[in-house]
Amino acid sequence: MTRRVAVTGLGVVAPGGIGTKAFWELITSGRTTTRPITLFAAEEFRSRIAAECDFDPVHAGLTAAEIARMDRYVQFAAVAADEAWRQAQVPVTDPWRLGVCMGSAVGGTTLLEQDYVATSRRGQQWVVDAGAASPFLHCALSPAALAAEVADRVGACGPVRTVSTGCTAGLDAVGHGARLIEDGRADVVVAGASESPISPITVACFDAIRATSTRNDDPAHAARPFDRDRDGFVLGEGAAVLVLEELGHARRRGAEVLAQVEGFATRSNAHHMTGLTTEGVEMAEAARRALYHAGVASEEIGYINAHGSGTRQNDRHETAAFHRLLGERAHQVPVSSIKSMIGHSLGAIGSIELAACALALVHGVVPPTANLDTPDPECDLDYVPHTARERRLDVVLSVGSGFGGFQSAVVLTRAGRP
Amino acid sequence: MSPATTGPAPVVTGLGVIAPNGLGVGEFWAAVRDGQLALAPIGRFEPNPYPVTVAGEVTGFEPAGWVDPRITVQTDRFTHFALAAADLALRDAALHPAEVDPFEFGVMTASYSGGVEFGQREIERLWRNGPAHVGPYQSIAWFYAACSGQVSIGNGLRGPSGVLVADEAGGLDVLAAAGGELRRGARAMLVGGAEAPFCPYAMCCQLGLGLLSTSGDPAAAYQPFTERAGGFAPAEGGAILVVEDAGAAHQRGATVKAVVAGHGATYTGRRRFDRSAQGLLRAATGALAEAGLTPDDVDAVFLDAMADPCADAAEAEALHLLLGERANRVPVTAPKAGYGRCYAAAAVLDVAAAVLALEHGLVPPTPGVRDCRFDLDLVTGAARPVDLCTVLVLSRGVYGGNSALVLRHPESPTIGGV
Amino acid sequence: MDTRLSPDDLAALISRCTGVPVTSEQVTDPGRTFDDLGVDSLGVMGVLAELQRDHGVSKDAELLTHQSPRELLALLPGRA
Repeated sequence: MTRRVAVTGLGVVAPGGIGTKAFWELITSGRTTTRPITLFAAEEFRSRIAAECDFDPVHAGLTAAEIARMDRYVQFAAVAADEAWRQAQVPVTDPWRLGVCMGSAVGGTTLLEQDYVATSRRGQQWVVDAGAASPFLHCALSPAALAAEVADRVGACGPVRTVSTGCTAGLDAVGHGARLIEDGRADVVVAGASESPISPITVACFDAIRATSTRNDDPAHAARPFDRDRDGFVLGEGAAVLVLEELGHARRRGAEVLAQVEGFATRSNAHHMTGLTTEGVEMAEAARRALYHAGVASEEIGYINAHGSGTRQNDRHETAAFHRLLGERAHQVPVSSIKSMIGHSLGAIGSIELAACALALVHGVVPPTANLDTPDPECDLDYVPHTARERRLDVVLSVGSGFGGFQSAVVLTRAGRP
Repeated sequence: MSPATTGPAPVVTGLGVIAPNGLGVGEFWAAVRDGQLALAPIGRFEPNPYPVTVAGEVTGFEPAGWVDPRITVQTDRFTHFALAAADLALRDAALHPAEVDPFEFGVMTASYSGGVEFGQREIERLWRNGPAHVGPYQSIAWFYAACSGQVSIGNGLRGPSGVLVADEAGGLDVLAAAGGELRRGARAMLVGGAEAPFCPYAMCCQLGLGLLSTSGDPAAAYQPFTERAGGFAPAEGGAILVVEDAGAAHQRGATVKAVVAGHGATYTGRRRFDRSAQGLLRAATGALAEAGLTPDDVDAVFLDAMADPCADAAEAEALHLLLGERANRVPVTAPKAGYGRCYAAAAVLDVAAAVLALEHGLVPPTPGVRDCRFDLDLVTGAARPVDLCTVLVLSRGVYGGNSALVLRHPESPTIGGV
Repeated sequence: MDTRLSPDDLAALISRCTGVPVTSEQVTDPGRTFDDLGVDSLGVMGVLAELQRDHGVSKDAELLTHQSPRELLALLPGRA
């Protein structure tokens, strides 16, 4: 008997608002949250804009001890996990069957950098002064600490791990978490991803490869996926957590099922760490495998949540992949990028986008692509510009693309789909 | 029956090892078999003002000859280890990547600390000289996915890829994750991990764990299961395995070294080694059940060996709970006492040692340890000839993960499989 | 800031930044592009960034892999 995976809880911390409700309102409004960086003094940097979360950990319900211990990205994850867990209301009868699978690309970089500045006297000494480090610095070296914090909150004793495939980590964490259930290694998995990368070193490293937008004088319109005048992505931050549950387990306890996670696959381009081919072969292949795994034909896809980072090469690569996947139907399937509104939060964004997909299935609404004023002639699909669109959805595909050449795809289906 | 227990178990057909006690399986096995001590004063940076002065360093390894110079400049030492180990593993398996459908050959690595030495160099340039001094490779060298990406690109592997960050235990979890890909159609996977955590800032981060040995005597620094256990000696290195679908390996006439028969993973809380006895027990029974075996089938155990008094006691307790009256008769060992604990690569090196033990019918000793304080048959002194069919490998992470892997001799009938 | 840079210096700089061994003859050959030399986009960005930082090349300068190192020499101040 095949074990299927239901989503029974959602939690989101994203720019523009804390909580699933605020998130859904924002991404269906077409408003953007990109703005000048406030988290540090960014005057010297090439790209000085980001989509930041207005996040107050005290207001979000964290204790003083938690705030002291947790790096910002762990705080986001804790708050998102709490929301998802409250919604799911899963009775934990056997903690050994409850797992956690969290994603992050750069993990504790913010704390690593903060303590680096203190221990090196602002970069003046290679042999750093360990006495100046915070007592929690060791948690920043490895994002293993992220999954552990979430596991402690929900009381998980099953498989607990962090997935760190860079910018596809948010999709991969949910995909991997779903497999733990499919494969019988857990009945419930708290899965998601978190990132708080808006720190000098991360901004500088994207500056160095000119991947981020320099529309510093007009931040609200800087993230413009598929638009002719796009000039790179805008860094974001945030977290999303999905409670995944074996479908029979959810049904037996009468839980409200929001969606099903039915397919997941990854492929790599084996081409270049940051460069993409123009053909999109591997992304199309990942999507095809995910659909196969889900037992869904590509004709059934009602919406594609694109990676849509807004870099010149990504948007063309991805458009080519969708043509390859959908053939003549490509122009009939709405495709959109919520990064236009909330930026690109690296490892977190895949989970945030899956939360958006689950909500799209629940509400029958496709979120739009903001700032798409003048389509790039080489990006010729229906990208749902500016305004959300009502549409009954049964099958939704979400894709991601990351450094290392990784391409990931996850298929979600409407609750109750046989 | 869940997919986790159907289909033939994946098989190990190649080993690539870059360890403090040897480059390549020939040197590694000779050193492991003979219980050689490869711990020494840290030499990668000086002065060393930190209380940890003894470690397992990979001496005599230069990227030249192993890594394309173009790749050397854009990668951290941990990726050099991974690329070299991948190359050795493919050669050991007599497998040329071009022989396999590229979409069905992937790579899965575990990481703990990422490209941290490269990262420290770039973050120093940022804080000392300004953002424009951060180079273009920081974005691809530091992140945890650097090894999976570079190994995929370097070998033309376009199949499923992933990166797990689950502390030490992640080194076993990646084998299960790769097994999941093989069960879903992949033919071969490169699986493993690499670490190079010896720059000042990485050491500064590790100190906070409070688990590292501060002994200055290489012969006394890592003494698990003894009265003198006072922490572990950290290590650098890497190990990559070629794991294939059993049918694919048979079809190409590959020599099978071992069968990956079962895996289990649990979580028992950060810094709660007292609870890890139950965690390890559950992981081990789960792994044996997946392999279609019982604790009576275990012929030898490769231990986690944290060398923390409480953690050691918990591991000994787990063995007593698992093996019952056989607990003091089943040979158990911790070869890593001779070369250190290599974080996410530690368990992969243990798997390599266990595969070699199965091949040679020898349980290698725990180097430098004479007087085990627990009622266990800890192999010390010389390697012991044992007719090995089933070996259990245990691993724990500093953030609470407990994992177990069951390996079988290729000539032993195996029903299960990860 | 050192704005003088001989073909030998540029060749050494490219080799160091990209790991690709490059000779002074190659950097002065107008027909030889970075692509031909095996230098990828990240390598070119690293080379350009260093010239902008330390050798007076304009911050607005752009360079792509289908261009040649010789074109880089032309970007240096005081050279035609």
